[in-house]
Amino acid sequence: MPDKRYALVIDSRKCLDCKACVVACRAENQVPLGYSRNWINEEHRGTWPKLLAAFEPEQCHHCTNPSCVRVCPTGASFQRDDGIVLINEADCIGCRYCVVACPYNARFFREDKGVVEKCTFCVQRVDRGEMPACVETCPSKARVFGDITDPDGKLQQLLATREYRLKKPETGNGPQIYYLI
Amino acid sequence: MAKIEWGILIVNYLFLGGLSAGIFFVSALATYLQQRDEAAYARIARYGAMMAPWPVAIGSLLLIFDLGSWYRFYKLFVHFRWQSPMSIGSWLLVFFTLVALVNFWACCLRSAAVRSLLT
Repeated sequence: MPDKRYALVIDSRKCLDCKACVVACRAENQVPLGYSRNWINEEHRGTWPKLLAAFEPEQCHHCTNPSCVRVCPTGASFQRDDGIVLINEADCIGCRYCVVACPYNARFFREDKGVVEKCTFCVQRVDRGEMPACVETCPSKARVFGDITDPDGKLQQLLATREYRLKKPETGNGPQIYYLI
Repeated sequence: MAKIEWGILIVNYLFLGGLSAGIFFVSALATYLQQRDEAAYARIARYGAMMAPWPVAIGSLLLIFDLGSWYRFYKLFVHFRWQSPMSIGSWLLVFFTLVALVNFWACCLRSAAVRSLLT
């Protein structure tokens, strides 16, 4: 078990599609319009009168075995010991291989900067002891962020008491966003 | 659906890279199939060696300009990351282009007749 690994647990039954998390991320990280580090997946099922709309937030999963880091030719994409996957902008040449490699389409190329960008789990906030902006702002408390290796932590508690799923686990990337179902 | 990241520049490079490889291969074959201790198809060997380096050189330029920050392309050659196909590919391209250029020099630029042809 590593010392610490950050992960996100999302209870998508609580997600209202209010997009506050998208707005908060944009504000916190200066993401210009036209790009988004996070998004809500909408699913509409059934026909009237038995209709269901389900909302599922998504962003970089900060995987344990990230393909984006593996394919980066310059090492600009790297992973910290606490699991957060980051991009060293100075080394990014904008080849976009990582964008192609990510199974979740979490990365995007910034035309205006010539480099690739993605969710950083608000590393600047986390390192100050705060929550990522999306987690702090969620009005329905659908998001829980923390250290998944902590046996007494909230994440392990939730994962022990609720059923959950991962997205595209068959890729072998080891995504660290857990969706409670 | 995800956005298409690699477009026309990459498509053209793929064609040019393959073209150079094919020319080089045919030229090498024509050189090493020998009849009475000399190249069986000497003219194919020579013209092939002359033509081989250029398509891949142009293709490599296209690759450089496809980069989001093209002026940083040299960073590809400061690192070798064997797990990255792009890293392997970048080094291979440089290696092959150099080999093709050296082959061109070795086969053709040393011969006086061809030198006069080129100047």
